[in-house]
Formats: sequence, structure tokens, C-alpha cells
Amino acid sequence: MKKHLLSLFLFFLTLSAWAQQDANSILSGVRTNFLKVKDYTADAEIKVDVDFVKIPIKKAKVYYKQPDKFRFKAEGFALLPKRGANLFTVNLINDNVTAIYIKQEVIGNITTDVIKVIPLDPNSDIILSTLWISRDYKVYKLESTTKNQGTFSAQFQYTNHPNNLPAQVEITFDIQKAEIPVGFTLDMESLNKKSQSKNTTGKATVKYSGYLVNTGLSDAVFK
Amino acid sequence: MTFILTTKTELFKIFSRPRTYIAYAAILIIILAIQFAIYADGQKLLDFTTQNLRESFDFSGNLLNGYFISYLILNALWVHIPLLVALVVGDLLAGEANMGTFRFILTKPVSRMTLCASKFIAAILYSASLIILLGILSLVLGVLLFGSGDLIVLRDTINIFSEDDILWRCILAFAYGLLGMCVVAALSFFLSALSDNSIGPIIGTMTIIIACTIFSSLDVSIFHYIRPFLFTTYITEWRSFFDYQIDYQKLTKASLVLLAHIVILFSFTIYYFNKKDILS
Amino acid sequence: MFAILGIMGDQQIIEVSKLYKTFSRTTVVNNLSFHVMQGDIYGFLGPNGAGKSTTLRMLVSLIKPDSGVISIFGKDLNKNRPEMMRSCGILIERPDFYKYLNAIDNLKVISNSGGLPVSRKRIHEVIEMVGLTGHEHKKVKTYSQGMKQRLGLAQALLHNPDLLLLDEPSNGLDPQGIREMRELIVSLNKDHSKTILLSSHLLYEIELMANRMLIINKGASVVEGDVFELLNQGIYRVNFNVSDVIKAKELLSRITNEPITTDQATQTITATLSNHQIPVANQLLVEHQIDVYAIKPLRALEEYFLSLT
Repeated sequence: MKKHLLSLFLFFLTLSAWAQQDANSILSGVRTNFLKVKDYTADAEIKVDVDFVKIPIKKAKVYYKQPDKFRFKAEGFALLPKRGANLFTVNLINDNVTAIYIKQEVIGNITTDVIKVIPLDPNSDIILSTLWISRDYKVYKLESTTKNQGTFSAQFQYTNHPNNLPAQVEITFDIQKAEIPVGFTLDMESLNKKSQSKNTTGKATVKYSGYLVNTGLSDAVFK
Repeated sequence: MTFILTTKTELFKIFSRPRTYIAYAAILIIILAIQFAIYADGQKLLDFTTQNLRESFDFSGNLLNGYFISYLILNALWVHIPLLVALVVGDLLAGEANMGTFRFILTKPVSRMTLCASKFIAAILYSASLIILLGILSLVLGVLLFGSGDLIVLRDTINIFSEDDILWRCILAFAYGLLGMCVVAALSFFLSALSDNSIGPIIGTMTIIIACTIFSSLDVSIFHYIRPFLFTTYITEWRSFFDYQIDYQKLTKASLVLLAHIVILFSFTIYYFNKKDILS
Repeated sequence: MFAILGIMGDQQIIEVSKLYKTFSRTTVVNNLSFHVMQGDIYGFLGPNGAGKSTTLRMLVSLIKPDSGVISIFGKDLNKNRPEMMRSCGILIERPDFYKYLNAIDNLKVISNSGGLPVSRKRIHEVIEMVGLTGHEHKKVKTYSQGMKQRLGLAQALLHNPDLLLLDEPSNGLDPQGIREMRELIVSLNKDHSKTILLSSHLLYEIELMANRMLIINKGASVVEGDVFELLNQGIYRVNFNVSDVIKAKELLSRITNEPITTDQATQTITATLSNHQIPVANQLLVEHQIDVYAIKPLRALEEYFLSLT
């Protein structure tokens, strides 16, 4: 299936050279925006919605530094989706990709260009991504297929931040149901209940606020 | 007045015996042993359980903390605490019969009913002291050794509670746990009235608990009918206080069933003990 | 004998009537009736297993009788137990204590558990009374049987009761201890006006202390009455140790119609004789050239009691 998809895009690649050109320039617009942010700090509020995990809404601080340093710290314990929560670390917007222009689409009331992106690095976990990018080079939506973790998608919302940093990200992802080891809980009742489906879809919403951009974050923060 | 005096005296007797302190020492040793075991292997255990989560999530914060260890200790100890309860409570009536001291006490003005009730109240206070010691030691030692933090609990779901959401759950869980131990005490006390030596009630209590636990947990259809009437079905329900949505209706019903066990067992004890010929 | 000097009243302190108790089809107490008067030291005598302890246990409500009435101080025990137990000091069988406690704590625990608290001063008083001063802080597990027996009596005396029920109080004591216990019991009766019911399997012990007694065997009453009168009716079973048993038997049959037994091996001849027949018998034997080495008169009741044990 994945192979088929790939050949489909190679087909696209040859057929519409102008579109590829266009897609690349859109991507580079996004990249230019990103490069203006050397580092940032923000307050995050994380809501995790996975049926086998119950965790209250958590407040955390997130730290980013170019090119791909990222860290978050919560007061207690917190979970943050590995993929999608921070677009900067999604390895899509560098040079080593092939981008294909697909179409225009309106999300909410914003007109976006839909672009398929294929990472060329054979070690990349992401096989194929689709990006919805507005005319001012903000990513509004992202859908990715990964090698091992199924698919995930992220929807971004913005409130006029000068650096086009998102105010909210809503991430949807595939997750395997956790096996609770026997003897760990000694809870016969739970053990008797058969777990139904092993794979399930999870959702997480991260609200960002209080961005501090380009403060010259030290590398020590990320250790 | 007499009742307070006799109850105080029963407590004095309990706390004058070396056996009582064996139970306290056992709790202390077990708690320390588990804490060091978890100190060594706890992270592996946590990693294994959260393996799937780690693939999708980055983690921040320490889950291997005092609260988590207390929770594990409680899980591990609910089999042992009944033994420690039975060790002392099973001896309350049988021990006096065995020693022959009933010949002194029951030839005094005190009624058998008063004596029985005093002993049972003392038994409950002793059981409460075990639970409180267990709670305080596991929480305090746990937090001192491993620090505090959010609590991860593995039920049907992986539940994570914020630090400020834990203590009240612990207190309710311990209170419910105490109710369960009161049933064990009432059972032990009843067997103690039947027996003239204290080994019988201790072994009897443990045998009944183990048998009922098997009946409660085996997925065999004939046990489905008796399961709702077995106290062992409810005794571990304290864990429900670590559900995200606490089912208070279920817990109220469970508490009432446990309470009914206590009332019935204690009534049988009084009835039997009042009739009993003291031959020892 | 001293006991006769004790204060005796005409009030019935204990009245037992038609008492029955059966344990798994064995009748242990069978239609037993007796009464103890104020000021008595009442001996409750019987061989081991006669039902003494069971009876005493019924008197103090440790065992419920199958039928019969027990009145203490004129009231039905069944209906007035707590009130009666307040006036009774009780020591049933071998006393056992909380071995992990000392004497003082034991007495305190027993009195408090029994709902009859006493002062520390009183505890020391009774410890002194039973001669355990100096040992009161030792754990009871270090006590000898004799010391436990004394502590048992102390326990019975704690609340200064009017009536004492003592089951074999000199059990386990050495001869000196037995004497001291005896003197203490007699003094409690004489000097402190206590009515005492005393069980024993030893006749001489009862004889030395009690003024009235009851002999029971197999749960039933054999004889009840004044100790002195019962024992000294003037009839004796007399053992003669003689040189010629056959000739002696022939001679003695001239003065008594009661059966005469002989034992060649020990050269003993036994006859039932009255008080004044003993010197007559002796004279008759001597006159017929029979050497009399020893004459041992045994009171008839004593002889009978020995035959039971």
C-alpha cells in the first residue's frame, strides 16, 4: 500500500513539475518563518484523551531551541505527544524532502494549499505527510503516516502571534493499549476483564500561551 | 463506666503482650523490605507498564515516588494484614480459655456480653492501629525515601492523580480497608469464641479468607451466585477509591455488606459465648 | 477443729437444690442438694472426678446447670449474678494468670476486666495477706505453683467478699505452704467473718478446717453434716498387728458380730469396734498369749472415704 502511494507521488512528481515548484516555495516560506525563531519558551496546558489513560489537565513549560532541541517540564507528572505537539521538531520543513502540490482547501474560513511531503532520508520515521498551509505560511493541519506508529494528525490554531506560533494544537494519534502486567496490581477483578481492542485512537490538546521568543536559551535547559 | 474500664483493660492486655509487637515489627520490616525492593526494581516495573505510552508520549516528572510505593505496598499487604489481625484477635477469647484466666474474670460481676463487647472494641482499635501504622509508615517512609509526586495507579486504565488529589483518596481507602479488617477481626473473634486454643482461630481465619478469595475470584459459574455474599469480594474494593470516577453507590453497597458481616459474626459470638460452659 | 470457734449464723448463704449436669450423656452432677450457713467453713469432699469442680463452676456460673436451683445470699443466681459475684471471692482449680504480667498487673487486670476495680493499696494489702510481698513485681511466669496458688487466693480476696469459694486451695503447695494456707483460711473465717466453701479430695484437710461437710461421689451426695459428729461416731475399723492371726480372729469374733478380715502376709487382722471395745479386745488378745505389736484405729467414715479414692 505504502509502496503504491509512493509510486503515485513519483507519478505526480513527473507530471506536474510546476506544482512541485510551487509546493517547494510554499514550504520554504514556512521554513523562513521558522528560522526567525531561534528559541522560545511557552506555558502549555496539556489535555490527554486516551481511553486507557486517565490524567488530569496538566500545566507545563515548553522550551525550544534551533534546530531541534525541545523539552517540557511539568510540576507533577505530565505526558506530551511525541509527534505533532511541536511542529518545529517535525522533520518536514528542511531541504531533504520532496513536496507535491495537491490542491487548495478551505479550513474554517482560511484558504490553504494542500501539500504532500515525502522525506528523502531513508531513516525517517515519517513516510508521508500532508500539510495544509495558509497564504501567510502558517501550518493549519498536518497528517502523517509513520513506519511503526500508524498515522497521526495535528490541527493548529493561531492568535496573531508575530512569529506565527500556534495557540493550540490538537493531536490525534494511534496508540497500542497498555498491557498491565499480572501480579502488579494483584487485582483479580481487572484481570478477569478481557481487553477488547488492542489498538485505539488517542487525542491530546495542547494550549500554548506566554511565548517568550529569542531570549537566548542556554543549552543547559535541554539537559 | 464498666465498659470503658473493661475496654481499657483489654487494650492494656493486648499491648502488654510480645505478640502484639511482632505484628508491628512485621509491618515495619515488610514495608522497609518492599521499599528497598522497589528502589531497586521499581523503575523497570514502571517502564514496562508504560512502554506503550512511551512510544506516543514524552514523559516529564517522577512516577517512582512515595505515593506509588505506598500504593504497591497496600496491594501487596492486604493478604498479610489479616494474618496479623488474626494473630492477636484470634487469641482474645481462646487465649483466656487456654490460659484459664476466664475462671477469674467470668466469676466477677462483669457480664459476658460486656466482656465480649470490650474485647471486640479493643480488637477493632488494635486493627485500626495496624492500618494507621501501615498507612503512616508506608506514606511517610515512601515520601522520605522516594519523594512525592503524582500517583500512577494501574486499574482497568492507567490512572494518574495529581499530588493534591491523592491524600483524600488514601484516607478513604484506608478507612474502607479498616472496615474490611474489622470483618476479619469479627471472623477471628467468632472463631476465638469457639476454640480453647489460639492456633485454631488464626489458622481458621486464614483458611476461610483464602478459600473465600478463591471463590470470589474464580470465574466458575457456580461461584457467581455466592460471590455477592462473600466478604472477600468486597474487601479489596478500597482500590475503587483510585478510580477516576469513584462509584460511590457500589462502595456504599460494599460497605453495607461488610458491616452486615461484622454485625452477624459479632451476634453469633455473643450468642455462643453467653451459652458456653467454661471448662478450661 | 478451730473452725467451730468461728462465727456461725443461722442464715443460709448458699442453697443448692436438685442440681443436675450432663456432659455428652455422662451425668456429672446428679440431683445434688446442700446448703452452706453463714460463718461456715464448709468442706466439699470427694475423690477426684466426683463432680466437685463442676458443681463449683455451676455455683459461680462458669457452667450452666441442666436443671436445679442455686441461691446465694437468698437470691437466685440466674437472675442476680453480677450482684452475687460482687460478694463472692472465687478460686477455681489451679490458678492461671497472664504470664507476661507481674502480680500487681495481674490483679489489676483481673479486677478491672471483671468490672470490679480496686485500689492499688488494696492490691498491696492482699499481696501481703497471702505472703507474696517482695515478689509482686516479678512476672508470673517465674512463679512456682505454690506462689500462683497464693496469688489465686489474693485474687479471690481483692474486693473483700463475704463468701469465698475455694477449689482445692492447697494444691501444689509444699507442706509448709499447706500449713500456711490452712492457717490463712481459718483466720479469714475466724477473724474476718468470711463464709467459706472449700473443696478438697483430702479428708484430713477438711477435718482440720471445716465445721460442716458434704461428701460426694459420682456427682451425688453421700453424706452431709457436722464434721466432728460425722467423723467421731465412736465406731472404728481397727487394725491389729498380731503374732497369731487365726487365733486372734477367733478371739475377736467373741466380742463383735461385724465381719473380721485377716491378712496373713502382714499379720494384720481388721475388725469393726466401738470406742470402748478396743481396750477389751487388746486385753483379750494379750491374755491368750498373743503378742500385739500395733493397734491402728481408723474412723469408719475415713475408712469409707479411703475406699472411694
